Amino acid sequence: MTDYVIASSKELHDVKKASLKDLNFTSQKNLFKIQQHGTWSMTLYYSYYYNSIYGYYYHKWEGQTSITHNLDFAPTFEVWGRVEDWGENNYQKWTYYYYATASGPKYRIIESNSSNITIKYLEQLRENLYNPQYGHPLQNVTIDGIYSIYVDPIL
Amino acid sequence: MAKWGAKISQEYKDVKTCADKDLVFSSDWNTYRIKQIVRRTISNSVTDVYYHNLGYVPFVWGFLDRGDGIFIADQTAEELMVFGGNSILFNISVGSNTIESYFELQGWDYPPSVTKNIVLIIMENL
Repeated sequence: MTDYVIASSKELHDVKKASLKDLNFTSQKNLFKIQQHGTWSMTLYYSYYYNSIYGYYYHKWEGQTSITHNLDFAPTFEVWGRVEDWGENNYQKWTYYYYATASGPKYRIIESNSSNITIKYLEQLRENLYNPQYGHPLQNVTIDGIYSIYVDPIL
Repeated sequence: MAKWGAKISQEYKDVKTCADKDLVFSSDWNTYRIKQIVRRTISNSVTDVYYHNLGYVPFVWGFLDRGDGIFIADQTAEELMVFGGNSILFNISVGSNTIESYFELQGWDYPPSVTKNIVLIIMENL
């Protein structure tokens, strides 16, 4: 098979001689192709409970949402999230975290499988004098965000 | 209207029959284009505000130059297991007009006044 290449160079570079970094497109390198792009939202359900082992009351916000893609493989993706009560300018790239403090576990889990991207969130705060100013409002809270899912598998 | 478009397959794949994931490019799928690349120097524990004024919330890749030839991606909290137990936190927050960047170094090796270079790669709106 003849090896065909389509390439486009940056301005002032010869496409036949340019190095890879001086090409703005070459068929020899894959691109992330956007299968779908959009917004998501999730309700964090508030609850309040007493942990008899530790002898404290806890506030808890927990939620989960899924974005369906039905690609039949686990795709690469990007998820950004925003907590409404933290202001407009707080879209942050969401990556996995899971850690435990004296207040309890806190996690953000983003999973990709062959049909969905699933986003899970949990935050717990132990009741004390300082909680109201550090936690969410003591009610259900909405988180929204943006995402891209690519037609390019993780593996 | 006849359907038309352009496709380019990956090496050794037949462009007419291969799966979408085996294409390098297809006019059926959009791709991200870079709107701006911004280089800034920011200070330890001080929020830096860059005004992009684009009117939409862009996807952004942020990288911080650790100063030893290693770049770390935004939303990173990194423990450096060296003597003194240094750590780096780097995150960016994006809005429709601004990007706030923040890093924090902790440990014996870092003077509080240290600055770091960052790169913000801002994507076009889709």
